[in-house]
Amino acid sequence: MNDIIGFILRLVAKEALARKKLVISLYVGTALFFAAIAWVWPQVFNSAATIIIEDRNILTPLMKGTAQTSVLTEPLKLAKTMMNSRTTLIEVLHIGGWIDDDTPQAKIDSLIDDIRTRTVISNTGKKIIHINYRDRDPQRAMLATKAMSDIFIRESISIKRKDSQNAYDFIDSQAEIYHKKLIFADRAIKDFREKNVDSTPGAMQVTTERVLTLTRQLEDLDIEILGEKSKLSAQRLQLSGGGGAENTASIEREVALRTRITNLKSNLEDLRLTYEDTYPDIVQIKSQIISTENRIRKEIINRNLEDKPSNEELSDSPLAQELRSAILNTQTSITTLDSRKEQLNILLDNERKKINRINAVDVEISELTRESKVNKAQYNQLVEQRESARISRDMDLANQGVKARIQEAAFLPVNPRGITFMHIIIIGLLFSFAVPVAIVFGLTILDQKVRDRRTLTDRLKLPLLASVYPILSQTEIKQYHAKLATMGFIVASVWTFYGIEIWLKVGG
Amino acid sequence: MSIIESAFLKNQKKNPNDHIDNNAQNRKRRKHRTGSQTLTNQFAIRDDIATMSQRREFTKDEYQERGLISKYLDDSKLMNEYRNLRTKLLAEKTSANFIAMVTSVTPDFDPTLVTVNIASTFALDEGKTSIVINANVSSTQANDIFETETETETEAGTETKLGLVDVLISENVSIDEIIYETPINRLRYIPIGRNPESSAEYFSDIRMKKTMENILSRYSERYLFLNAPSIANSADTRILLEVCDKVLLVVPYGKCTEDNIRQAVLAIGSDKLAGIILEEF
Repeated sequence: MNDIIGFILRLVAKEALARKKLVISLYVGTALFFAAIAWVWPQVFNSAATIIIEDRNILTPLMKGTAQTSVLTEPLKLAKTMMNSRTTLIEVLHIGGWIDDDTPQAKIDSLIDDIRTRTVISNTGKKIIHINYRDRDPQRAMLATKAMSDIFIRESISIKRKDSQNAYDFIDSQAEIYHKKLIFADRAIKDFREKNVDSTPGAMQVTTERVLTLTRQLEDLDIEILGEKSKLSAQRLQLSGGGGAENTASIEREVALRTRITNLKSNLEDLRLTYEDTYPDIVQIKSQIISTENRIRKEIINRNLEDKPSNEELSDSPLAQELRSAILNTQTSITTLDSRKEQLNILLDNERKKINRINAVDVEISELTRESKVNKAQYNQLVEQRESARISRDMDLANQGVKARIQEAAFLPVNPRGITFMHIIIIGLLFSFAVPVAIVFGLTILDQKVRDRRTLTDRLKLPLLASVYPILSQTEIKQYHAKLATMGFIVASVWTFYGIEIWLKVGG
Repeated sequence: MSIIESAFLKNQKKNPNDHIDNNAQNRKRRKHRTGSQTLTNQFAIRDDIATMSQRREFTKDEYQERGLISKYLDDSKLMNEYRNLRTKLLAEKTSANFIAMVTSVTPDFDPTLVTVNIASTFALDEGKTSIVINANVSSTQANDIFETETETETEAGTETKLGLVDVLISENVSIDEIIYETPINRLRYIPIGRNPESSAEYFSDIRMKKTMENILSRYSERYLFLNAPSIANSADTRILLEVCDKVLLVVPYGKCTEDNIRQAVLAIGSDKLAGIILEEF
């Protein structure tokens, strides 16, 4: 590494001497060039303002839930938009004293472009905005910076106010809309109810109960009718005879005979255990059984025959008269009951129709009520929100919400910023050496001539016998020294020139 | 051998620049030299060389003015570079002494000073002698360095001194006439001569090879350095390749690309290329 650096240094030194005219002219040229630039380079003064966007203050926690403080979401964007706004910049130009009312439009335009290029807006995080402005006039730098920061504050406040007013207006209009909707829905319910008086609340229950009662009554009535009818048929039977007392006596006789037969059969069985069938008692019992059975048969025949003939003797009896009057009564009672049943059925039908009607009304009512409920909920919410918005707006109007405030006001710059005269002088001093060296070195690389013994040995693989150089004669040494002295003199002259320039610019 | 040479010296008073002997003697001497060379022999050679004529030597300042290597040189780094170069050349020599051609990769660099300095380095050794032969028609730098009067006043006007080409052209010119003493100890110089324009025709002549062998064989520790034009575009240099034993390729700092060097190396051929000398500044 050191070898290479050493080689490069030797190379540059050799080449610089070999091309000393070029080197000297480059040196002087570069030095004078930078001296000239330094002389005409404008002094630039930089003024800056820092703006802090406060999104929390004492009110924030206090008003939590009731009011929302408006937030400057993108202050940097706002600031940049502001800088692009012609109106704003014209205002700045007025404040800075660049223009008056008579300034031609073209000049204003070019001045606006100037201001834009000389202004840098940056941010630290989201809440700190820096406005940097540079100008040749320190006073004007401060004025313009101050104007810009003031306009920014003003704009941000007005934007916030506008925002919260807009929010309030919007919520208010929405609340109004819902209010109207709600009134309309309530009125619709009321109208409907008026049209359907039956369907008062609870009507359904009453009607249902009534239906139940009627149904029950109807059932009772049916049973009663049935009882009356069977009574009627019994009375008629009685009146028509047959179904009277003879029959009953005949049956009783028959039953007694049958009981006798059963006893006889039982005796017979007992006797048969002991005796043959030919035993007289047995024969006797058998004949007794047969005769009893005959009697039964006779009895049944007699009874059946007795149905047929009309009971003449009964029709005029008091019993018959009584029966007839009872039948009449019963028939009357049945007729009454039937008409009652009919009445009940009509009522039941009515009640059922009513139930259907109530059901239909209920569906309609619940539809109307649902709409009204939704509207009501929405309206209530909007009313609350409107109140929050009102407080927020009032807070912004009172400038109590989020604040943009100037943390560091624009100042009057004393020292010029950026690349100053002295920088250029130093660059000139350095570059006046660096440029010739770089060009000489570049030329050396470009011409691709062999200058290094390593090229011969390493690249061309040739035997290097010696690396020699001429011995300088006294004259040559003197000439060499003279050259060095000339170069030194030129360097000294350039430095003197720089010294004079510095003295004129800074001291003078 | 030294006795013969001493005797020979005494007979050769008319040209004090160099010894002359005939071809037979050369062959004999060379033959002897290629055999076992004893320590005694080396001392003899040294004595032999020590007797070479030297009318004057450069002063320290004169050396420096001309950019020459000398015993006075303070720059030990440079001195070492040249000494190492000498060691390397001697280490790889195939025969006892050699003819080395010094040529540059690019035509815009004249390697004369490097040639003279290499020759000087060899001549610094009291046991060795070297000759710089200028085979570069366009270079007069060697003349300036050695302060050789290139022109002599005659009745007919000025006349350029005799040199290498003259020996090749005319049989009347002897080798002794073209070898000049220089103000550097043990270093001799042969300029290009009066008819440099016809050099190419004669360099390829057999006489050239003979002449070189002749010069080389005068001392067993004599080294010839041929200052040739750049290999890049000189026909002379390619012809001279035939005559010399090895070639030293001078790469001037920042004047040639890798391709230039590759082509030069290719033209020389790897068997004759002794190595590269990087001429920095």
